[in-house]
Amino acid sequence: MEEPELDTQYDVIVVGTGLVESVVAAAAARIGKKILHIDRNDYYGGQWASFNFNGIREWISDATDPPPPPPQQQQQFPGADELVLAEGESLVAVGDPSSFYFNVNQTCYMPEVAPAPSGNNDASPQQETAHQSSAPEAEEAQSQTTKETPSPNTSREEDDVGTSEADENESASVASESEVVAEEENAHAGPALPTTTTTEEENAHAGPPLPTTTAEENAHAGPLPTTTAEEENAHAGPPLPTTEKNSEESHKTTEANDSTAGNMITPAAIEESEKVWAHRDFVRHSRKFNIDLAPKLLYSRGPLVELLISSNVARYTEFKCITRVLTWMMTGKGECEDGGLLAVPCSRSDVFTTSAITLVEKRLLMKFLQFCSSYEKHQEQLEEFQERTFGEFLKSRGLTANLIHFVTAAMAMVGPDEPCQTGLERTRLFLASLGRYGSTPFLFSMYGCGELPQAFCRLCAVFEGTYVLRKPVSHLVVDSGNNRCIGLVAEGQRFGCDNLVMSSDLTPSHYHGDNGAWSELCHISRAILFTDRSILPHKEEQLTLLRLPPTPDNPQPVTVIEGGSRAGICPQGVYCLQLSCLGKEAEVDLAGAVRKLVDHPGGPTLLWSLYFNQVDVSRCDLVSCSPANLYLCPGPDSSLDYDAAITQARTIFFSMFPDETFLPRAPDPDEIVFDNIGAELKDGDYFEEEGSSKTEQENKLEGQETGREEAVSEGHDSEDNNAQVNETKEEVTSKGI
Amino acid sequence: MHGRLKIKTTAEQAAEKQKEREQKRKLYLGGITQAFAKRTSNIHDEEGLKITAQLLTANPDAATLWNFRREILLAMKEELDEEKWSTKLLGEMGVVESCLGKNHKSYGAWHHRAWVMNTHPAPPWKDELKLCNKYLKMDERNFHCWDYRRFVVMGSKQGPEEELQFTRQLIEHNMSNYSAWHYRSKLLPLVHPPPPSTPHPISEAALIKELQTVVEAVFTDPSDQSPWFFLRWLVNRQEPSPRLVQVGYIEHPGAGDRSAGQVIVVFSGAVGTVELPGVAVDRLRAEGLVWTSPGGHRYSNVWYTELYLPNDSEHHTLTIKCDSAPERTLAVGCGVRRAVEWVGGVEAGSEELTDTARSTLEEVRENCSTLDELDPDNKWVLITLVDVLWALDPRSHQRRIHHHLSQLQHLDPLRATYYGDTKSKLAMETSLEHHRIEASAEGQGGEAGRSFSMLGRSLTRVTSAHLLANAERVNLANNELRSVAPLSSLIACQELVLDGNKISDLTPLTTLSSLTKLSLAGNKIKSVSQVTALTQLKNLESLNLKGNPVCEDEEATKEIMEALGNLKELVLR
Repeated sequence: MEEPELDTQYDVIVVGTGLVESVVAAAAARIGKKILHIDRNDYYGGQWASFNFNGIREWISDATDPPPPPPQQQQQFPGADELVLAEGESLVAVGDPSSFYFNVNQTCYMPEVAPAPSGNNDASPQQETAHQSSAPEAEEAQSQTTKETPSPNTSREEDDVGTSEADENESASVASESEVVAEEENAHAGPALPTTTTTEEENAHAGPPLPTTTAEENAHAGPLPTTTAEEENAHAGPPLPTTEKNSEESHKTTEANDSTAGNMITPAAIEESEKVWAHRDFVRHSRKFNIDLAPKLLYSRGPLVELLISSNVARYTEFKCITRVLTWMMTGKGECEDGGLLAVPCSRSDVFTTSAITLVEKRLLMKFLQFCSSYEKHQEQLEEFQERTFGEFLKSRGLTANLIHFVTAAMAMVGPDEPCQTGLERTRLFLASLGRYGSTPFLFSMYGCGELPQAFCRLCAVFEGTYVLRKPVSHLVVDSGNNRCIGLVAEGQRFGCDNLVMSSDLTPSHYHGDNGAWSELCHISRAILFTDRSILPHKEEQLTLLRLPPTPDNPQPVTVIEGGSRAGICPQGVYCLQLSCLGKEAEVDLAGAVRKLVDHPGGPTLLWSLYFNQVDVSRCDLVSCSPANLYLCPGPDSSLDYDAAITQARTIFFSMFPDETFLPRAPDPDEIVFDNIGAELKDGDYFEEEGSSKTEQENKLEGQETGREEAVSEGHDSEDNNAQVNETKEEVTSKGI
Repeated sequence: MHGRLKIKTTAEQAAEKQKEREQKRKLYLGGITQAFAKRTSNIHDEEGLKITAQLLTANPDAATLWNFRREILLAMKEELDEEKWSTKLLGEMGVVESCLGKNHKSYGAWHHRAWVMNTHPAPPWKDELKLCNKYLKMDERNFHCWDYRRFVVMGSKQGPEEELQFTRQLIEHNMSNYSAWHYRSKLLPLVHPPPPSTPHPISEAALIKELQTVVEAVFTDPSDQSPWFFLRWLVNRQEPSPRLVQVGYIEHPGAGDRSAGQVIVVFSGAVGTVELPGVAVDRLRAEGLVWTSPGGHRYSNVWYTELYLPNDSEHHTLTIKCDSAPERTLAVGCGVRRAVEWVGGVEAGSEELTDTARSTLEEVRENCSTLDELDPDNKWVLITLVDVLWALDPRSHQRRIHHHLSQLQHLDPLRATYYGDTKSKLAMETSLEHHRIEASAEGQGGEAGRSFSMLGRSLTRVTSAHLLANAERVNLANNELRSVAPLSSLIACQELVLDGNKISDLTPLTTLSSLTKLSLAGNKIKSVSQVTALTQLKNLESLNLKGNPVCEDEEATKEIMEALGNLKELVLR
C-alpha cells in the first residue's frame, strides 16, 4: 500500500512511543486534537518495549554497536539546511539516544544445538559474546524487515518458522483478537510441547496498532476486571486430584514445606528440567518470548489500573495476577548469608494458612496490617514517631523480627531505617491493592510490559492519531524569538505543531536541566535471566515478585520478577527472571542476587542472560531549560510501579490543555459509529446499529429483567448472612486483609 | 481511509435501549402466550421445548414453564429408546446451565436439575460435583447449590472424607465461609465419630487437629464469627441422647393403709413415652402404668405415674429399668413416704474428661487468654472462654465465668439479657449440683433432698427445673424472675416461695397439684383472673399475694376473696 502523504501541521506531535508519550498522545487525541505520533524505531515502546528473542538480540546488537550515524540520512533526504526557515527560526539537533544504555552484555549458557538425548547438559556451557550472538538467522531476519511491517514481532520471524507455520501465521493474523485470546487460553490449558504449540498466541499481540486498521478495531479483550477474574479462576485450578484425597492436612503441609525448604523441587519441576534447551530452540520459539526492557508491575489500586478502567483502555490489555510475593529469609544470624526463599503471607487467608509464623505472630501481623490500612485515623498513636524510623515504630507495636522482615522487605519494600510515615504509606499502598483481583496486590501486563504503551497508542489511533514508525527526527524547529518549538524535521521533511512531546532520550544536550549536564541522574542495573525452572518450584507455575533487601552481598535492594509461559513472556518450561536495582555496573550490582537465586547447588540452570545499565532521567529537570511547549518524557524509572509515568503524563497533558478532561471514558464499539469520508455516506449520516446483526432469538434471550430477587434464605444460610454482614463490615475497615 | 468516528449521544443510546427493550418484551410475551396455548391443548412437541428453553433462559424463575417442560419430556419418553432418552435428558443440563448463568439462585432451575438427575437412567454424578464446585466458587454461600451438592454427594456416593477435604479448601480460601465450617461440623462426626460416652462431638485425635486449625483462624481474625462458631461447637460438651438423671417415689399425703404415690423419672433431655422405664414392685412388673408429663407434652424431661403399693406396712423394692441405663432400686413402704435417687450429674455430658482432652481444652483456654490480652474486649474471645471454662469445670471456674459474662453484658449490651440468663444458668446448675451432692450423701430418704432454695441470686431465668421434680420445698425468693414457665416441672412441690420477683403470669403454676403453700409476695401480678385460676390447685391452703398491683384494687381483692376465701391463709395486704 502506498504510504499516504502526511499532513504537515498538527496540534501535537509526539516523538517516541514510550509509556508517557503514548498516554499523552492518547489523551490529546481523545479530546479531538490532531496528533502525529512517530518513533525512530520499528517497534513500539522505546525504552518501555518488550521484545521477542530475536528482537532482543537485535536490540543488543544495536546497543553494543550503534548503527551508522545520520550523515547517510542527509544524503537520502534533503539536508536540513535546504529547509526554508522563516526569520527567527532555528534548527536544534536532537540528542543521541544510544547513550541511554551501556554495559550491555549477553551470555548464552546453552549449546547451539541440543545434544543427542543420551548426552546430559553437564557439557560445559557454550559462551557467546554479545557480538557473536547475532546469529545468522537474526541478521537474515533483519534484512527482511520492511517498512510495511513495522513490528518486531511480525517482521523478524519468517525465516525461523517453517513454511507451514508461516502460513498459519498469515491466516491467523486475520483472525479477530478475541478469537485469538481464546486460542491463547487453550494454549495455556494444554500441555502442548513448545514445538507443537500453535502460533496463534503470538499473533494475539503481533499486530501493533496499525494506523490504517485500528479505527475499525472492534474486537478486543474484555475489560480489565473480567479478564483478570478469569485469570484468577485459571489459577485456582481444578479441585485437587483424587490422589490427594486423604491428604487433608498434607495439603497444607506440602505448601508449607514448599515455602520453608528453600530448594525443594517438586516432581513436576524435575520433569520440566529434563528438557535440555539449546540456543536454536530459543530462536525457533523466538516469538514466545516477550522480554521487557523495563519490567514493572501495577498496584491493583494504583493510578494506572484506575486510569485503564476509567479511560476504557483496559479493553486493549490483559493482565495476570502476581501469584506470590516471596522474600529472602535469613536462617542463620549475623554475617552468614545463608537463607532461603519464603512466601510472604499477604492476604488474610495467607496469614491463616501459613506455617511460617506463629499463632501470636498471626495476630500481631493482622493487627498491624489493620492499623496500617487506616493509620491516618490514629494520628495520636503516631505522634511520637514523627521523627523516628519505621523499624522503631514496628518494634513499638510488638512485632517480632520475623514480622518486621515481612513488613519492611516484602510489603512496604523500604528499609527499616526509612521514616515511619514513608513505611506506613507504602504498607498501606500494598494493603489497599490487596484482594481486588487476586491474593497479592500486583498485576503483571501479559505478554510483557511493552503492551501498555501500545494500548494507549491504539486508543490514540482510534481517535484519529496518525502513526508512523521508523521515522527518525533529526532537528527541532525553534522560534528563538519566543523560545517555542514550532515543529521538527524528520527525514528532511518539516512538520509543524503547537506542542511537541518528546521522549527524553532525544533531548538536545543544552536543554538538559543543568546547562548541558543532567542533574540528579540515576543509573539502573538490570538483568534478564532465562532458567529451566523456578527459583522456588511450586506445583503450578507461579508469577513471582521478590524483593531482596540490601545486604553486604547486594548493597542495593534488588527487585525480582519471575514469570513463565503463563504470563506470556517465555516458552513453556522456561522461566524468566528480571532483576533490577540502582547502580552503574549491572553484572557487579546483581551478582549477589544471582548467587542467591540461581547460582547455588540445586538451583535452576541458567540458560541465557543479559545484563545492561539504563540511564534514568526521571528525577532530572526536564523543564526549565527547554522551550515552553516542548514536553520531555522521562523513560522508565527504578520503581516497581508505573505511578510516576502516569503522573508525568497527566502533568504534561494539563500543561498543554489546562481546561480539558484527561482521558475520559472511551466509548465502547457499540457506542461508536463511523461515517466514511469519501464513501457514499455524507457527513452526519451513520449506520444505525440495528439489532440486525443478532438473530431474533439472541435478542430474545438477552437481558429479560423479570427475574425475581432472591429473598429467601433458610437453615444455616441465614446464619451465613450474619457472617456476610460481618465480612462486609470487615472490608470497610481492613480492605479485605 | 478509515472512517471518522462519531459517538452516539446518550439520548440516541437510550432510545436504542428502549427500542430493544420493547422488542424483547414483545417477544417474551409472544413466547409465553404460545407456550401456554400449547400446554392448554396438551401439545408436547419439540417446538414446545424450544420455546420454553428460550423463555426460561430469559426468566429462569417461571415455575410453570419448568413444569410444562417436564410434562413434554415425560410425554416424549414413551417414543424414545433408552439411549436417546438419556441424550435428551443430558440436553436439559445445558438448558439449566444457561438458566443458572442468568440467575444462579433460581429455585426452578436447580429443582429441574435435580429432577433430571433423578430421572436419568445413569446420572452423571461426577460432573455434577464439578458444577457445584464452580457455582460455589462464584458464590460460596449459594444455599441452592449447597443443597444440590448434598443431593449429588448422596447420589454419587462421594465419601465424607472427600467432602471434608473440599470444605478445607474452601476454608483455606476464605475462612469467613460459614457454610463450609458448618458443613465441616456435619461431616466430621461421620469421619471421626467419637467413642461412646465422651462429651466431645468428634474423636479426640480429630478434635485436637481441628482445634489447631480453627485457633489459627481466630488468631488471624478474631472479629470473624464463622470460625468462632466452629470453635465453640468443638469445645462445648455434647449430650448425645437424653439420659436418666433422677428417679423418685413420693407418697401422696394422707393416703390410707394401701399407700398410693407417684413414681417420678427425670431425664436430662426431653423423651417420649417409648423411652420410659419399666417399673417393678418387688420384682413384679407393674402393669398398666399411665405416664403423664407435667404440661401434657408428648416429649418431656419429667414423667410421672400413679403407683399403688400392695401393703404399706411392709418394705418394698421399686425397680426402675430403662433400656439405656442400669436398673435403679428404691426402698419404699413401711412408713417411708419418699425415696429419691440421683443417677447422674447435673451438667450436660458430665463425664470426666480424659487427660488429653483436658490438656487440649486447657490449651484453648490459654490461647483465648492470650488473644484477650492482644485484643482486649473481643466478645468472641470472652464467649469462647466461657464455653471452655464451662466445659472444663463450671463449679471451680464459677467466678471467672461469672466475671466474663459480666464483661460481655457490658461489651455487647444488645445481648445483655442472654448473658444474664447464662449467669442464672451457671448459678442454678452449680446450686443444683450442690443440692445433688448433699442429697446423694444422705441417701434416698434424706431431708436435704426435699428442699431447694436460691435466695437473692439475681436469677433472671429458671433453668434445669426438671431436676427439682422430686423436691417438696422450693424457695426462689428475691430474684429477678419474670417467667415461672419452667416451674411446671415441680410436680412434687408442696411449698413454693417466689417472693420478690417480677412475675406476672401464674398460668404455669396451675398444674402443680401437690402445692399446699404458695407465696408470691412482691411480684407484678396485675390480673385477677390469673389469681382466680389458682382455684385449680385443690391442695392449696396458703397463698400470699402481698405487695402485688392486683391487691391495690378494691374490686380485685373482692373478687379474689370470693374465689379463694376458703383457703386457710390468704394474705393480700
